[in-house]
Amino acid sequence: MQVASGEWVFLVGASGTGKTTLLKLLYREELADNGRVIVGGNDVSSVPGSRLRRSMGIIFQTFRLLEKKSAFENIAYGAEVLATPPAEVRRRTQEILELVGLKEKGHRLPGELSGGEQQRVAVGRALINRPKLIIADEPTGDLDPENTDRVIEILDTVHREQQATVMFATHNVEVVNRLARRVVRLEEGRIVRDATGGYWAAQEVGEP
Amino acid sequence: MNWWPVYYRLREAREGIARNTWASLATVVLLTLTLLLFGGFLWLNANLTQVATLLERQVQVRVFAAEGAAAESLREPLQAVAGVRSVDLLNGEAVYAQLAPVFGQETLMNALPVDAFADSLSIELADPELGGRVVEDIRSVDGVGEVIWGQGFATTLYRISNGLQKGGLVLIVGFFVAALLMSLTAMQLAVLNREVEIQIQRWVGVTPWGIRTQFLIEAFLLGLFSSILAGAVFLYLGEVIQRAIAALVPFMSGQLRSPMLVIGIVLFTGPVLALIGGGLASQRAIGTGDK
Repeated sequence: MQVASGEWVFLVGASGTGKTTLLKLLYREELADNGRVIVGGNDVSSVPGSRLRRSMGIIFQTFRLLEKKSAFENIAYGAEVLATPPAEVRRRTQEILELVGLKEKGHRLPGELSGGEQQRVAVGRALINRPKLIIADEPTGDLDPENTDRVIEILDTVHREQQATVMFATHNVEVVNRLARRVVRLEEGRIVRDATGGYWAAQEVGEP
Repeated sequence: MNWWPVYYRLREAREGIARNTWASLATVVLLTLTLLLFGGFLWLNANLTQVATLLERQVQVRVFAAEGAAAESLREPLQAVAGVRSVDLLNGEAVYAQLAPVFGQETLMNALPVDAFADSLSIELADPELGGRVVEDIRSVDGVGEVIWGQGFATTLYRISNGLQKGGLVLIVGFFVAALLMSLTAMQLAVLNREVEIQIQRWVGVTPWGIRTQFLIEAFLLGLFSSILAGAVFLYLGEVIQRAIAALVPFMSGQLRSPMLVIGIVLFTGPVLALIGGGLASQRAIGTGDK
């Protein structure tokens, strides 16, 4: 399977078919038993995980925010830990807060935000280092349709404006059909369909 | 040089401690208790050894001249006996003067007249452990009358003193290992509590060493704080205990070891233990390779 730079790929399939494992292979959380995984021209098995992940933005279904840091601080944290100069961190964080629609709520703690807003903070944290590859593992799994749309909209903006590659694992058939992008369907760890656009039935996407 | 990364790590370590108040507090309490146990034993062991040595020095052979002989005339022949380090003449008045600080001048005078003690010779042995043989040689010197030597007391003291020296080292090593394990447990608690932070740092590409550095700085700060607390407790208790002993056993006054050495050891050991514990705990949580 090959994914071009700047492409958006949905990974679909029922639970346990290997979507998360495929994504983990990309950010070196797991290493392949067979075959090679090449990201940005580098063989994942021969590149330090930290170097590889610096060009990635990783988003999960669970938000994993720091409860005692504000939305602003949670987003900034992603750049601060890489020792980015403070002025640059502030500037980027302001931009991201605007992008994720939380400019007015930057001072709030995660507990003071809704689930959708918390996920947008997590998305913001993943985007702060301007990733070339966005890895999203069912990021809308716990969100209502409205918040799902907002998260998709944010990622689509970054995808279009920064030409970021997006690998998006999902069960959400509406999102898949609406965006009409490349869809890779997995079944028992194997790719069984790889097509761009077209109509996808709920059971094909693995919607529960 | 760009100092921002250094400043950032220090600031983040400080904030990390503040952010995880309860885990930090638990770590400090556990480390402080560990250091108190370790330091307390060190001090106890040092003082017991000191007391044993002190008492050992008190085990002297006392020789009284036979009837018709002068104590002074025995000095030279006794000095010639193998195993005798020194011979001092003690006249009765000197013995009386020695006892005065122990019992108090007034109490002593009420109990005994000033001429209650006969002249005698106090003999210091080169090796008190060989006292039995030397005392036999002393008894055979012409003009020697009664020889007083507390053999049973001396033997018990040597046994205690030797036991303290040998067993003490084993116990100190044991206490250090126990302290290390407790420090590891405390730091593991702290690291477990920071699982999300570790994950986020890994996702954005911080190297394992970068992540570990923060935990090591935090561990050092927590260890330093714990050792200062434990040191302060020793400083306070040291004075209280020394005052109490001076009041209860006047002749031991000024003979106990100062707690300053133990405080120094505790101040050094706290951060070192925390660093080792933090290093091992973070290694378990983060791993060694750049996965």
